[in-house]
Amino acid sequence: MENEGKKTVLVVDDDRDIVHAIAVTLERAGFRVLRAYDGVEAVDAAEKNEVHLLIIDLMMPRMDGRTAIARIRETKNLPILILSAKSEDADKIDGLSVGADDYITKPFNPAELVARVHSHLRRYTSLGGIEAERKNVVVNGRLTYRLDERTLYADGEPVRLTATETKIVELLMLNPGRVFPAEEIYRRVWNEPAFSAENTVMVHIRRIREKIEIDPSAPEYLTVVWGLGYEIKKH
Amino acid sequence: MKSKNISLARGAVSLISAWILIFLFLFLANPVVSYLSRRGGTLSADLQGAARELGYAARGEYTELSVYKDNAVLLFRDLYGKVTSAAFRADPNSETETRFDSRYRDILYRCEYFREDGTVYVLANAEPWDGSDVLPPDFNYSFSYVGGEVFIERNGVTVYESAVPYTQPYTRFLSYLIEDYRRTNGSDRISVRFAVRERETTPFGASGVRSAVIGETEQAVQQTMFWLSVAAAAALLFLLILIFAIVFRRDRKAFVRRIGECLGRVWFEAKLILLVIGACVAREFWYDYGYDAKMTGICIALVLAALVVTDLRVNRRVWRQSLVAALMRAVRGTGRGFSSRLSRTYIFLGAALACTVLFGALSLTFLATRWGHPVLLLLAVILFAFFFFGLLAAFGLFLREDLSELDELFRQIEQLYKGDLDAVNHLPMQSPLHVPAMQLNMIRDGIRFAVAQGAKSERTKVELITNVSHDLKTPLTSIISYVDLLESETDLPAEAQEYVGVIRQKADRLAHMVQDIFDISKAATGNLPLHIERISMDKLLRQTIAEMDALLQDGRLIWRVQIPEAECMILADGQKLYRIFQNLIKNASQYALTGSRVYLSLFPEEQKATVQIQNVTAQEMELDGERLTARFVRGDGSREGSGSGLGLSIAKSFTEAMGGTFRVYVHGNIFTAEVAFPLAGPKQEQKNG
Repeated sequence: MENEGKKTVLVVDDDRDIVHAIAVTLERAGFRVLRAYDGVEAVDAAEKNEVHLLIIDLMMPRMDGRTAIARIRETKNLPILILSAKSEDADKIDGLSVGADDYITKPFNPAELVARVHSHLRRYTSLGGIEAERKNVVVNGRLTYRLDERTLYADGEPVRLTATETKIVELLMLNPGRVFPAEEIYRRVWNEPAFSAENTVMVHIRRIREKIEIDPSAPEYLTVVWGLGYEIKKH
Repeated sequence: MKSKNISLARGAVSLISAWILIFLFLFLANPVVSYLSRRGGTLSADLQGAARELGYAARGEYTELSVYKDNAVLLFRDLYGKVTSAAFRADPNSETETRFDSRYRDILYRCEYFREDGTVYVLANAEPWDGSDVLPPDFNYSFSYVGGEVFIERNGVTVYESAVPYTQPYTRFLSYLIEDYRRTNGSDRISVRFAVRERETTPFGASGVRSAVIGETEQAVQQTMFWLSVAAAAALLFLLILIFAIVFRRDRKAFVRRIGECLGRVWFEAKLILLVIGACVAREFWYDYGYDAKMTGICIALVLAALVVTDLRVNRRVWRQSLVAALMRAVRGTGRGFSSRLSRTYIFLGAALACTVLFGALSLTFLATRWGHPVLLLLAVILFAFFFFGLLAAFGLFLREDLSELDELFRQIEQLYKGDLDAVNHLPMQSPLHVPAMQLNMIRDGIRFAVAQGAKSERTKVELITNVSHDLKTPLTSIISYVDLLESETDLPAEAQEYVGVIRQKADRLAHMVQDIFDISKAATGNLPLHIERISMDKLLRQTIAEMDALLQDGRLIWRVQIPEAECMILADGQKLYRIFQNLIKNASQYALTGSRVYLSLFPEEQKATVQIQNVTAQEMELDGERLTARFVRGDGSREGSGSGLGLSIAKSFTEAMGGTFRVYVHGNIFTAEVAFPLAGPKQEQKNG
């Protein structure tokens, strides 16, 4: 964080009040904020200024968010956050497929928004060097796990984990997308036959989440696969 | 109307005239033919003679008439007979003078008979007449038979003159003369002369001499004239009839048509019977003796033939108006209901079958007893069998057709019942089931329309809810954002900060509610995106409890969790199922009496897995289970607290969307929520899903 200068965030929404609220929130969080109210303005602003991150609504007059994202993506490589009232999974997948990095549904928690902005900017600026540097590094979205250090980095920041938590994280990080039943996690981490594993494992999972997730109540990485087990989602 | 009647009358007259002409022709043919076959001379000579006679009669020259001459000869013969018989009977040797009495005073006679011995026997009146050609005064007729010749004179005019071989017309008289001639060995042996005085009354009786000759002649002439006038009148009538027949030709045709129409109203069978009877009568006449009888037979036959032709020409299909057709019409005519129509058809067919059997049996018996020829009998049996089985086949075919139509209808009903609203029937117009079939088709159309309408309105509802929830989210975003900004204002008074806190709380709740409404409406309208997997219900329940550990461990309630080790695999969307249990647990933690026990149990059964959450309610329940799961309904009837009132409703709609059952029971203070899912089968289901 210390080597981070004043980053510029472009906020685009046809609702001026929302743009203003976001802008104020982000400015208080130490960002420079550019405002635009439709797709055309957004493209224009992105071309004329050095923009580090884009927050954009999809439904806008003149030029919709999708087109604007495509235009900006032609020339710039920057994290893009979609802000939309559409909350269904299908909408999210659709939004991300356009070329966005994240999808935030309205109404959103301002603190969460700021956290996401931070997260994306950090990853955008600092992760490039680490990637593919060594073989024993597992990168998954915001998370990076260094096998040699047995350390998990979230947005480039090392996360403080207990020994058990580290074991769980290691197991899940090395097999992203694989669902582990609680019994298996218990067996492999504690090296004991599982007894009332669910509760024990869950307690640890919850703790890990609080350390790595932006919104622990809506986890994006360490998730429960209901009725089956737990996994770290592939990003 | 009147002119029509007149026309009909004229037609009738014309027709009758025509037929009279035909009859006349037939009956007159007889005398003509017989005359032609009998006559000796030529036709022209006969006609000339007849014309001459008619001329004499017209001029009053009766004495010229052959009738007159015949009458004169007759009289002469009469007299001659009387005189000669007297002469021959008398004593030939004595001269008798007064053999005739006073009745003969108008007749003078002188008969001379020359005997072989040379004497002459004379027979004469007392009146002095020598038998010479000079007649006494007043006497104007003279008859003489002298030297074998007959000579008749009246008023000095010769009426008749002939030698003995007299040919015409009185052969009997002739035969007298010839006999006498022969007896006397020559004409010269006898000579008879008469002188007759014509008077009105004569001793011969009322007719008198005048009547006897002239009178009778006149009478004959008058009679002839009368009959001639009758014939003329008849000819005139004939002509009139002919004119009628020709002039009213058109009316006659109309009349014939009318007769045909009348005939058309008579049953074919009746006509057939009458025709047979008529033919029999005509045949009887024909085989009778006598020309007229034969002609009557022919006339009857002709009239019958004309009637048949008329009937055929006017009512082309004469058999249509028949007893059988009338019966069929009667059978078909009334009652449009399916059962009556069907039963009528089969009663009719059955009756036809029975009739065939009866008739066939009778005729076979008849054939067997009367003409026992085996070939004939065999043919009859074959014919009978043919008819019988033909009718039987028709019966079967009709039945099958009707039943197959019924089948088609049932098929459609079944399809409709199974939900195929495209099922239609195509029963033909003449089917007895046509009307109900069409009605069924229309019902189908109605249902389809209603379903389409329902789907459309459902879609509209979903769209409305989606749009509304989106529209609510935008201002909510602003509210939450600005509340957040407000909260970060440090120089706000304490109360204001408190107010901001309240706003924040309510804004969050509103945000949840909007999302809940959105989800619930999606689930209720079947638009909830589901990701159905084979998952373990017991594991999911444990995960949920672990996830919500904080809530369960807050100490307000005592949680009794009972999850058996047995694995309960079900087919469900894990995320949604988690939301169901989450809502139920939240619901219990919110409304259960503080310090009371909450029982959360999983019951694995044979076919299903049931999760039950039971708690003692803090407030008295005013609602039953049904109402509790309705949207925005809360057990305490208030609108306080943090719940949206949608928790149970969401749980219910999500459960049902995934094929489970959701029930809520209230027994006094005990509130029970029950979620049941059918157990999934063995593993292979997972691969398919």
